[in-house]
Amino acid sequence: MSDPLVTVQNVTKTFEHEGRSLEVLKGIDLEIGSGEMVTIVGPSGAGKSTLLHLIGTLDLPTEGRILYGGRDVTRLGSSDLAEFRNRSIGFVFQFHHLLPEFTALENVMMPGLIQGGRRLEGRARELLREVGLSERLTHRPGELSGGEQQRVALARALLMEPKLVLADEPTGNLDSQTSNSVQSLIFDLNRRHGITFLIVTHSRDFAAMMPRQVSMKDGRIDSDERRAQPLENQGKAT
Amino acid sequence: MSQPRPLGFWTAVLCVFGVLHVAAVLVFGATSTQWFQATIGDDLLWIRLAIAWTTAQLTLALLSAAVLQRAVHLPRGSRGRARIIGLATTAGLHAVITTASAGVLLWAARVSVGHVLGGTIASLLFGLTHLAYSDLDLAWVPTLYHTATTLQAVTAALILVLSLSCWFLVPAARRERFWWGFDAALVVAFLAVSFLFPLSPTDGNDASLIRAVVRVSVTTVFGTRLALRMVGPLLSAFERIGFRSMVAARHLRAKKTGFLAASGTLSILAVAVSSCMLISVLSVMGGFRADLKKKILGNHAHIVVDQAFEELDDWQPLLEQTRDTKGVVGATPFLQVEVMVSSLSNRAGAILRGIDPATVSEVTDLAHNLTHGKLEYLQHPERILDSSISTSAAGPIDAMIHDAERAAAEGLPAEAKEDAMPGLIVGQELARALRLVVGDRVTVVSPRGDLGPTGPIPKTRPFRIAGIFYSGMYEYDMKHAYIDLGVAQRFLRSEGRISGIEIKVEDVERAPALAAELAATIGQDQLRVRDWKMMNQQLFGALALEKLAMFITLGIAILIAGFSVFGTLTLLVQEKRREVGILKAMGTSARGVIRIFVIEGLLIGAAGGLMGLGLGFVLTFAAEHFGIRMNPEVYYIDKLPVHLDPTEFALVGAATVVVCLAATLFPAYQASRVRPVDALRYD
Repeated sequence: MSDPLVTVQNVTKTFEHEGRSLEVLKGIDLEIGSGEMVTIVGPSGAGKSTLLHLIGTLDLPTEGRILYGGRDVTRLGSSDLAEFRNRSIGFVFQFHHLLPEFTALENVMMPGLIQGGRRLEGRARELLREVGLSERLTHRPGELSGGEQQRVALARALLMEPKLVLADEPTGNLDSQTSNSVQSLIFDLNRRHGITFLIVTHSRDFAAMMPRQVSMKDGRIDSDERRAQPLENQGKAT
Repeated sequence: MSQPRPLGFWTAVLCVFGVLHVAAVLVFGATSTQWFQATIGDDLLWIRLAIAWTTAQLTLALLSAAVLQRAVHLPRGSRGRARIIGLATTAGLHAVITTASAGVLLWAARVSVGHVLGGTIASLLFGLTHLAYSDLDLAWVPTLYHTATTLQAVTAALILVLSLSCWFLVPAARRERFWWGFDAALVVAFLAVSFLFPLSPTDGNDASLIRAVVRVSVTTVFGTRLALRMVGPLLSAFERIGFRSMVAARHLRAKKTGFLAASGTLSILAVAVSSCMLISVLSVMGGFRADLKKKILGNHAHIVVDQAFEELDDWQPLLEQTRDTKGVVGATPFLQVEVMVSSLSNRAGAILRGIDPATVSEVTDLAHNLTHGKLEYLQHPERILDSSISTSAAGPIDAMIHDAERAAAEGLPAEAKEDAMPGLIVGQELARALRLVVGDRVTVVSPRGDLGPTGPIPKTRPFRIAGIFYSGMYEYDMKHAYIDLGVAQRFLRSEGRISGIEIKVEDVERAPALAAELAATIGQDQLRVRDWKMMNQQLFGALALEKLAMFITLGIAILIAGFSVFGTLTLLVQEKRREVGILKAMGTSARGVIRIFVIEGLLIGAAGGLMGLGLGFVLTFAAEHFGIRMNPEVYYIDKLPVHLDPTEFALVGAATVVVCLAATLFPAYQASRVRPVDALRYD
């Protein structure tokens, strides 16, 4: 395996709730290589989303380290962390979480706007064309369907050309046909741009298509399987 | 027209007409009393007015009937039906009450006076309530009038509220079209009044006053509409500045929680009202100060050179020296002592000043302030009686008195007429207290008398009133009397000596500096050189303290408005928690989030502040130019003095912005503390 993009070393996460501590992650070790397609599966409460948030630096681990190319991001200050998130990580959430006051184009441009300047407007248009929404540039999230919103979110996650895109149930809220089109879009993006995807999903079909499947249980990694021949073509067939 | 117009149209028309009607009645009611008295004999005007009035009531009645007829046919329970029916009923009721009460009044007029036009209507509408028609048994008419007025006021208020409420039932596109029409008409009206009407009225001309009022009103409405129209483009321009201002502007544009939402609008209004109040009160207080300063500077010298407890001898070189000093416009000597002035009917204490009539006008406004008589009579008292009747503005009774005085004076030997009766100028209040007119004889009692066998005997001397002045300051008009310097020196046994020198300078604000300079050039330690600020220290100190107290008290109002901004922003932060989480997940720093919400608060504050300052400007401008009359018996000034100070506007604006900025900090900090994980949690 090539040099890992992300290394998770012995990460634990404990939440305090009404004086009692709840250990959600009990020592996770994980390596994700560049260009990989990884899915995390497991029952509810296994700690999938928490792990995803930790990898995405939205939250800090109680113990352990998270390294990006040898750099420990758990030790960065909040401004540096924000900068790091902006440049290196893209997020896609189950409820897409677009900003309601902004148009599709502006939502996609948002990570670039945070950096300052509208330089990336051309790229945002290009991305929206790529996800098939070139006719919807000026629509607000409220005027888009669920699948369209999720595709806008995907385009937004890709704007800064991140090394890693984290997706938490990207198809969880969509009907099967729409989720199929989102899934094939993800595979397509991985193949053409070599973007690394880490996807938490409950969908067996989606998980089965992925080349690497990490399953979690009770805050620990239960199994980590790699398939030689991913079943992604099934997604296109259905 | 084959198809009847839909409900929305007539509702819109009724709303607009109702509001205009109520506004017209309010304006008319507020300005009418004096106007009624002025136009009481103008029959033609009153016929026109009656026609306009009847037309308005008829239109209102017909409109409400039309709307009511359509509204009752709406399906039960449909949105706004109750509101529209309520509006139509109230408007109809208003028209009926108004017409009926006017009818009763006209009938009463016919019964009691015999005809109904012109002055009769005026006297009826306003006089009837005070008259008792005991012989005609019409005592119930005033009661009816009062009842009708109360009902009219209530229905008018209801019409206003319901119109505003029903206005939003009118389809948006139609409202939009209305506003375009309104704005177009407004632009035309604005241009018309800008070219045709004056900004400040000519004194004593009612027509020009009305024109000026119309111009200011139209300009204000125009400015308001222009500002409203500019909100959108301005926010768009603001969005282009950068990421933070873009997010802030978008948040404020959001229909649910932004500018247009109740809490946002209310906090803008709170800021506006408080800053408007503050600037208006400060302007009025500044006006009082400016008025006082003007009067003090008009009556007093800017700088006085004198010697404590001593009179000055050999003062001519000193006078020349001060005159030659750069920045000094004029200088005049004076001799001052406290005396008693007694007339035939009364006596009062006064400060008697011997002045040099030739040079006094260089320093004070005494000559200008004389309402009766002339300054030259001080030197030529013999002219008083020759011309007092023709020069004084006294009434016929005074003239008769003067005739008598004149006859008496003619009976006197010529010498007594000229020498024994030098002229004396007194203030208006002193003249009133002693019941004096120009030409009257008074006796002045000086404490500097001879020593007689039983002790000091006060020295008395008769004077003739040569003039009466009105300075605008009560104490001054009550306490001061002027005589010729030479006469004073002889009378007070101060031959050749004076109390001091009064000096007028070019720039009053530089008076303290110039006073110090003068003291240095004179170089005599026993001499005091005092400027007007020093001499009126307590007065201006008290005013400044009062103003500071007002600023603090009303500043608290701005603080409370700041709380409202605080509340609005806290709500906004709660509402936008999820979005803050998204922004942070995408890499916005905590500082960036703080800036976004601070900008939002500042925009609210700026909008409110600008609105308040604009409103305050219009109010103070109107008060300054149109003159709000005050009772001179109570306040000793006839108009509310208003002084617009750009510095104060800037100060209030800055205070508003600072308060709003402070109000944003905590909510913004809270927003920055939102953790994306918490905000985005959904499982």
